[in-house]
Amino acid sequence: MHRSMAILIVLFAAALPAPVAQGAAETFQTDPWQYVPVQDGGRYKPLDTLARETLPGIVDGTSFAEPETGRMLGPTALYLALLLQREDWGPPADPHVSGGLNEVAAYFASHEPDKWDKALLLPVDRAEFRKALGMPDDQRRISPWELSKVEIRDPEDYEKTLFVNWVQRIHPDEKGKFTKLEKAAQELGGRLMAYHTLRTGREMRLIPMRGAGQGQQWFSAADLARWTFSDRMDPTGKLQEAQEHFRNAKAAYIADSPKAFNEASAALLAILQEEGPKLMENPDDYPSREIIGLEITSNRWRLFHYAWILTLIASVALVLSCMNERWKGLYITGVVILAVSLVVIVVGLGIRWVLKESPPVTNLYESVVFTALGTVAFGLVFGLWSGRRGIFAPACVMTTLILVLADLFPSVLDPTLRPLPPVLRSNTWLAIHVMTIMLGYAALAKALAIGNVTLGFYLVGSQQHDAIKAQSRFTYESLKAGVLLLLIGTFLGAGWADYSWGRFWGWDKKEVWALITLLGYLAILHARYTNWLGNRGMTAWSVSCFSLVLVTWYLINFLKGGLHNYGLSGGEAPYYVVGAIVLQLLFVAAAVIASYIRQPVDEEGRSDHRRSARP
Amino acid sequence: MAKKRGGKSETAHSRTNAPRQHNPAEFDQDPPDPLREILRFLGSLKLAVVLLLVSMFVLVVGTLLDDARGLDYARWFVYHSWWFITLTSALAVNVLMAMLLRIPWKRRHIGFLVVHAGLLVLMAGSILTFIAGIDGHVNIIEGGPAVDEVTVTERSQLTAVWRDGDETAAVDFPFKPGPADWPGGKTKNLGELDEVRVKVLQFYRYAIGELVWGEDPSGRSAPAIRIALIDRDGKQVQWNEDWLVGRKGIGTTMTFGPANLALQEVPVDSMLRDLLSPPTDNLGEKGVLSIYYKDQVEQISIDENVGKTVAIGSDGTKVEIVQYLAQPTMGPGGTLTSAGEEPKNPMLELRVHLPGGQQPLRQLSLAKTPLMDFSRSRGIECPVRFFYHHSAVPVQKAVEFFQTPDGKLSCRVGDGTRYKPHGAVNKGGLIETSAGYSVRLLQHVRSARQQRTFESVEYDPEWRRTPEAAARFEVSVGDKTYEMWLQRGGGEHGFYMVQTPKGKMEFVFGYTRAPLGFSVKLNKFTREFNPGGMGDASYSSEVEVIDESDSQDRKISMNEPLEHGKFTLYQSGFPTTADGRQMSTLTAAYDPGRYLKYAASVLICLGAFVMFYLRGRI
Repeated sequence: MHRSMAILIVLFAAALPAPVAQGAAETFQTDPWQYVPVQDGGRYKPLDTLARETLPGIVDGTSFAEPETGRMLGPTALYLALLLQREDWGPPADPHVSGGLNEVAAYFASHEPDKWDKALLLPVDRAEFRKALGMPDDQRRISPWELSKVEIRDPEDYEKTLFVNWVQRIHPDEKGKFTKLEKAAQELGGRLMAYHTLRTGREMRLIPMRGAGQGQQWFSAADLARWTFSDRMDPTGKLQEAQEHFRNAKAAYIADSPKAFNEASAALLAILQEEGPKLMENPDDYPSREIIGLEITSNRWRLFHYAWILTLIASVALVLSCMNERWKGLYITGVVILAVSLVVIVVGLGIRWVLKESPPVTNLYESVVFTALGTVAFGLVFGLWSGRRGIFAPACVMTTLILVLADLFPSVLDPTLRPLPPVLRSNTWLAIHVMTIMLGYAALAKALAIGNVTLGFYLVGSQQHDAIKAQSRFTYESLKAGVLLLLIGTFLGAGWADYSWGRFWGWDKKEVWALITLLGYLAILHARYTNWLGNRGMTAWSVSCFSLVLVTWYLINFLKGGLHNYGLSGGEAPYYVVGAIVLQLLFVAAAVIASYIRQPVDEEGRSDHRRSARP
Repeated sequence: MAKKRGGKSETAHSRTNAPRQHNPAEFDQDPPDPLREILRFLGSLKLAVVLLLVSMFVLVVGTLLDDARGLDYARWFVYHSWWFITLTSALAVNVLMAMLLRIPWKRRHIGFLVVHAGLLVLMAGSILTFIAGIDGHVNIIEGGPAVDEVTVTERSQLTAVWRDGDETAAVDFPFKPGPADWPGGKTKNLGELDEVRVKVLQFYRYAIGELVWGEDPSGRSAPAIRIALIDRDGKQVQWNEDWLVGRKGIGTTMTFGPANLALQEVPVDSMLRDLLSPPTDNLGEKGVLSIYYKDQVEQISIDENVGKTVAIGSDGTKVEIVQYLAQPTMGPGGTLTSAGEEPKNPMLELRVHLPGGQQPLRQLSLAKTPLMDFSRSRGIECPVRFFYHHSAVPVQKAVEFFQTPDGKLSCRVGDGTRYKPHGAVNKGGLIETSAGYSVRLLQHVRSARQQRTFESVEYDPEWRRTPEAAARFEVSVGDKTYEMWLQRGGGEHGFYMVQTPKGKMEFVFGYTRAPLGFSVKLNKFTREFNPGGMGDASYSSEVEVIDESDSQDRKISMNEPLEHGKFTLYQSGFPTTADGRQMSTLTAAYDPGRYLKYAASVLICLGAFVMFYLRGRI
């Protein structure tokens, strides 16, 4: 009786832990993994950043729903899921299959697809492409497994071939161009390849080699899973320990036991943190926990994203407040939010400065954000100086525009932190030169913003001459500030060039266009002193001259060759910029013509819009 | 009443930011005169605006030219051109007049004067740099010798070097070729130095060179042909296009893909028939000998005529067939004997008896190499030629080309059993073989000499390696003249050596050099990479700077230049030499206008600031 009871109790107790464990909801703790420093793209970064940078190239986003449970996984969790779930990380059995999509196809030919392989992960955007792949109408994504064996109907010869073979044979036509379908196919092929590289653990490099200098590659997860470390490489045995924990974690993940996974993860992460610096040739080179933490925080906060939301709200508030003098509350709210956004941008740039160990003005994205900072700053300064809502509002709108551009076009304005080319690695000169120029552009952008408002007034024939006068005054102030800053910035640039390359001025295209921009605005300032330009003229030319800024800042980088060509290829973006310039110039023309028609010259022989408006 | 200049009546205006209007009355002590009007115009704001706008336009054109044809081109035609300098001078005049017209200067003028004075200082500095500055580069090899010269690319030069007794003598002929190809017919005389006269006949800015076979004007070189291999379907096999170059007296054979080819010169026109349609019947055991004398051809059967003498022609010339040697070998005493009976290399020893009783000429004729020319012996050219046919000589499987003295090319195709005569071959002619391929004649040079030629290519901004320029020079030394194509900057097409009346001379086309005033030696070049090896983090050169008195170890890296003497050296690139050694390229600059330009920068910025924000408060 006792024995059977005992057996029953034991059986019952044995049966219990499973449901009890699930009930206790021990889940997979992937958050600590965010802090693992990995080596990628020429620098060290947290796994969190690696996930955020890699996943958009696969699933076109940084999160995805887990196929079986439907639970949304964030960047690190998703990365780990894709990474650890894969059973086999080995190289292809057939040594003749060397990398590329052939390896992917070979993998699927010899392995059973798992839940991720069969999940609809990879987006296919173009309808004609979906048709060519034979996808059902309502399906916008294709699974990797499906993609590895699907056949595509070549639009030119209507032959059906395996997609993975077809995409590798694509070549440009005589002009070096691809069709839209070919481009889409290449992109999709790239996604499949990125998927494969991630899942086979080759991308995540997490352990330095013993005595690793800066130039050496770290061990990847795949290495960790497969290698046997010799005693010479691993005298303390810690690497093998780390390996053990890693394998355990992986096994636990596959076996769906969170507790074991969490324990193994914790042990692994502890060893990495302890041993990482010791393995580097110079322990200080290993990224510190603080820096990693800072980058993760920065990733999470997405400061520049919230910045434009703030400025958008402020813009709405300020523009509305312009319509009715009595809406003071709205006005004050707008100004305060604008000031807050200034702080947000400054903090964001400051964090980038720390992470890059270099002033945050070394790539196009940062220069754009810095200009936004300038426009906010100028907006606040001039706004407070004038006390007019009509001066705050355009600045705020302009800032919003700039920040939105920066945030929404990562393919053109790339926020990724990348290592700097040597020529840009001189802190002082670089920082001051670029910042000055960007502030100059900010001031001129302010002139652009206010100018457009004034032109709008001219277009509709507004009789608010006071407003026009005030706006003109601040357009003028913006021009002065902008020109002064551009003068200083250009000379700083010349000084830097002299210091680095031995020539003050080399007639490089960017230099010449900077000069052209400067001359343009100088011409306006000089013409203002003669009888040639009144308010209307000054406004029209100030707005038009901003096109020169856009050429110098952005478009010139796309002309081939030259010292300033940092190798950008923006796809269609330059055409949009040109289009925007054309629209702007048409608007200017329309406003000026409309104004002329209404009131070319008054009885004193001067148009009402002219000199009298000057202070 | 004399109007007071300056003083209280004007201060009312100075408190505002309003620019002063020039009240014409102010200047009027006298009625306005034309000179005053001109001066006023020269210093006017209107002129300033016009000049600014014109400058903008000109600069835009400059950048477009830069994009289309390169920065050198833009500099030559815009930025350093005389009319651009004129435009800038006009601006300078405008600025200067504007400053002078405001005399007497007041406190409120300070900002204005400082800015515009700064502008003038900037222009002065630029002119100084333009005239006296040196901008070049220095290439030093890691572990290599010290370099004490700067290569200045602004100007090119042809250098002639020769040995003068114990020393090396050199003369330079500098000139500025410009950034574009010279139009046809343009030449430039570079003058004479040390009995060497140089003229530039042609210049290509971007040139790709190749060695080709061209006509030798002396006519004494062997012929050369260029052929292509054509496959069964009539398509040219892509890479099979090559030169077959003959050799005097011997001829050349070449295997070209599946084809065997030969090229030979034929000494006598009439011999062609023997080649194209050799006798195949009745060769007997010892073969048949064709004898050519003047216009006549005789065919003698050897079997019956060993030891006999045959009369040729009508003037008493006779040919004696002395010996038939089946396997000729040198016997004792220099005599020829046969090592055996089997006709391995049938040869006939002959004697030619010329009319007039002179000593007979000894001749040989070999069946296997019938065209081998022994016609010249003891300095006397034998007027009789021979062609020996022997059945033991197999028919080649080859396409053979023959050039007759009249310069025409003929061809025969052998398939192993018989020859098929093709007859005369012209350019573009196709020779078919039974082996499935054909040979097409692309080019035929009667007397070929290898020449270097250059082809001009169009500027492409996306070039990875920009092709260098090339020029054709006519050089006269003493009374001899030579023509040469040379590529600038050396390289495989950059040198030309020739024997001249002054001895062996070497000609090089390159850039001018300026002395550094000291030497630089590269001890070590280091490159640091980003984590993971992706891209460069930094690069630097550890150099030794050697003066007359001492030497120092210094380090030059990106953004950390080295100043020494009057030059400043900057880290530029790091190419590797052709034989794999690491080189560091340093930019070397001497900028006498530098401090003026820095001063100008300060003046301009300060002046602008004062003008914009401190007017009326100073």
